[in-house]
Amino acid sequence: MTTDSEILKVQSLQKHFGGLKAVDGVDLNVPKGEIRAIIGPTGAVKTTLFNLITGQIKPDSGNVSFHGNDIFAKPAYALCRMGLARTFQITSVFLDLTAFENVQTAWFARHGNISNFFSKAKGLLSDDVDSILESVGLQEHAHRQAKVLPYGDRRRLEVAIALAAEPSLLFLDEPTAGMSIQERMNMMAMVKDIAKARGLSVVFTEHDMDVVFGTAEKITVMHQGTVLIEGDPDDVRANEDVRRVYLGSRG
Amino acid sequence: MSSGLIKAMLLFLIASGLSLIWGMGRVINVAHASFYVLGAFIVLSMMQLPFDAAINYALALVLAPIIVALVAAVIELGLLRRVYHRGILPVVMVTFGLVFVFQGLVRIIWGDELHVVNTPAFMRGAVSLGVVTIAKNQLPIIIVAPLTAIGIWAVFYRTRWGTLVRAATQDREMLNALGTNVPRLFTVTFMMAASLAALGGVLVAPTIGLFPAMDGPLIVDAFAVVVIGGLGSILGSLLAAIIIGLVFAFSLLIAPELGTVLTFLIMAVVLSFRPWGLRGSPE
Amino acid sequence: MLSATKKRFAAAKQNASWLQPALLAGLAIFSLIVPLILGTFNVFLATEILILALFSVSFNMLLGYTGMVSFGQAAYYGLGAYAAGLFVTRMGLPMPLAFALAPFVAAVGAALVGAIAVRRAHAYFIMLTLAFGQIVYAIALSWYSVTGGDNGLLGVRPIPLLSSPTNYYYFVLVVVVICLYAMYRLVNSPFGSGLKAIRENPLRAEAIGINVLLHRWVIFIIAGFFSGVAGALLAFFQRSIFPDAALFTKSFDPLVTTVLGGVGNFFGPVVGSIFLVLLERFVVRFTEHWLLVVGGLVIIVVIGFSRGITGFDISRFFGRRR
Repeated sequence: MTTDSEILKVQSLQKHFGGLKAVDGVDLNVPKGEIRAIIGPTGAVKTTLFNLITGQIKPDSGNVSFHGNDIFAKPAYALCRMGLARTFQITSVFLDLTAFENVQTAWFARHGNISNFFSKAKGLLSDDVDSILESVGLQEHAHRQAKVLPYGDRRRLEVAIALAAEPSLLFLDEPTAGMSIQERMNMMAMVKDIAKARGLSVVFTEHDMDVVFGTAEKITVMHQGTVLIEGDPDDVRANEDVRRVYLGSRG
Repeated sequence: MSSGLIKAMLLFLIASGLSLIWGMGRVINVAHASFYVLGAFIVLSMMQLPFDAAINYALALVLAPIIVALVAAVIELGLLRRVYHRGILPVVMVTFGLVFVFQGLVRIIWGDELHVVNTPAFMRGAVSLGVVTIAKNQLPIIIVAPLTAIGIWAVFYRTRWGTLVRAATQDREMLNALGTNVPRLFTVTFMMAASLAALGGVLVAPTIGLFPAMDGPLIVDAFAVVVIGGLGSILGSLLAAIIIGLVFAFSLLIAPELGTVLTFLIMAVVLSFRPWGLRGSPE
Repeated sequence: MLSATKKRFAAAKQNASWLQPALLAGLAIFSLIVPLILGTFNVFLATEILILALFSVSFNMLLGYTGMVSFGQAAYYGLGAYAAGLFVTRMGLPMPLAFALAPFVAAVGAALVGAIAVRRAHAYFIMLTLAFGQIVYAIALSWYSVTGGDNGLLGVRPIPLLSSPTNYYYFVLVVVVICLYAMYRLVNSPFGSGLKAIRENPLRAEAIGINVLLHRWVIFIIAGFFSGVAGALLAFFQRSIFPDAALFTKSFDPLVTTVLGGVGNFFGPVVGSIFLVLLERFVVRFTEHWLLVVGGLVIIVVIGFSRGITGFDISRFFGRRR
């Protein structure tokens, strides 16, 4: 049973690839409005975990519920419409479309316009689209093609596309990948602001520990396909197992 | 019944090469059956040489695959290599264009009418093997094709080169990283695939009427064999070719076009439930 | 030197955004007066161009807008043509009714094939669509009692009002313009935005809430429908239908016009159709090996000029080599 405040509840999630136990019994509970980081030494496991929950890969077994509804193995497009949006580690914006069109298309998809064959898409619902672009700071570049935008702006567009779904839960897969230190700080500050302003719950994966400890309210540490420990940043930082397995000599 | 068997063997010779280059390089060579056509027309011409007919044919058996392999090399090195980096579609379109270029060239060189190969004496008439009677002009394909299949298997599984090719169909990048010159390996594979198709042409030519557009129906069947058998699998191509050959033989009893419909249906079913085919691996 | 020329051409096109509407307007006016200023032979030519343009634009909804390569659109073209012909000759339906129903037959065919084909990865989609095209051709060729096989279906007459070349030309013009307008609205609608997203990145499109399979199926049916309209127009134009309407070489036509004309532009296939039909008329005066020329032309265009006449790189969204 999900309590009212839990927006995502994952139990015993499993995925094996042939002999490889990629995700081996993961439990994850995210309360409403929390900003959660998932960290761990191997990047692939974290992304796989995301993909299992957000519908890109089918899990072998386990339970996943979102707002109390069972979403195990549901296709990605259905999840998006329920309010679960995500970004991808490798920037996946629609390169040939403008930033505006990128967000607009996502907005259409979420708000039922996508089956509209007749209206002219140009300029449709532009207020909503513009406000999202503004919240990620891309309003100046609205009518430039995504492929000409610099990398950092494309990552922001990636977030904007996810926001167009007006999600209640946002999954960010390595949102700051490839960014400079300053860009990373800016990005995560932006994410935090947006999350608080909209009452979003956020789950993100990250390599950079400064970002993690600076942004996350709670941290889940994964190791060898399962959850090693979960707790608030200070507890995690001080934990012996975590230091041994992951933080190594840095501590 | 024998025509089904012959179709199966011809399809195997064409499709196995097609399957390899598709599995290895993601190249869909719509013009692959054109190599078959070339082989058939080369033997047509070689039978006009001033030697004994049997010698002409033997020469064709050896030379046609070699000539076609060289043509294939020119195509791969000169044309296809320029478009690989742009994805599947440009490559397919170039090969689609080649279909018409080949058909046109064959038409120009040999003419549009139906041609018949001048067969050597030992291929005339029929021979009775107990229950079945087969035309003697079917002997070449019946004898040589299975031997070739065994030869292919031997090369594929018992030589270093074959191992490299198999590795390339599994994971090209890794093989490249390990130091193998994968592009060159692909070119050689492409040439071999072309010469197999050409061999099929040489073997089958005595049994049919030749015309420039005869690659059409075959290339679709060849694709079906590749899909059903599984990308990159020789054994898969063999099994699938036998299945399609049987379907073909069966449909001759009812309506020839039934063969095309059944082939499509089998392909659709395979793609719906087991897209990697009989012997491919789920990706 | 070649790339410098290409760059200058592209730059010139960028700056002249008035060019396309002006050319279109000119073309529209010209098409209205064709029968008045040119002889009957050229009216026939223009009719051919219009039919090919319709077929090609429907093809480009799949290729240029959704990123789907179908090598079997001739199946729906052929189905539309044969349906129209059979409704009129065998079932005695009046031409207007036959013409109206024929595209739906094509659409049904597309729905059936699409249901299987769109689920599959790119390469298999190509195979399946090609194979179905072959089936339609094989059936048309061999079902002698119904389709007349190689001898074709004859006596496919339009209503007397449309019997003259000029009148039929205007009929085709009206139908094609209406269909093009419908398709234009479609690709510029929110649904069209969804198609473009699918073309750019199907995985991401799925993740933003687009049911990719459903969209692909729907657009495949729509493209089949309009291919069927083109086929029906052909049937009453030629007054006969032969199996080669469904031959896989016919599937090549819209691909050629689209690549030549430019994939990324709605009117690219129209431009390509004009170019191809006129080129064919020109070339066949000197040689019977037209297909050879077309094949060679496509190879040259694909290798050398990926942007087509109107300018859009087709390979961009088919991914870098894995």
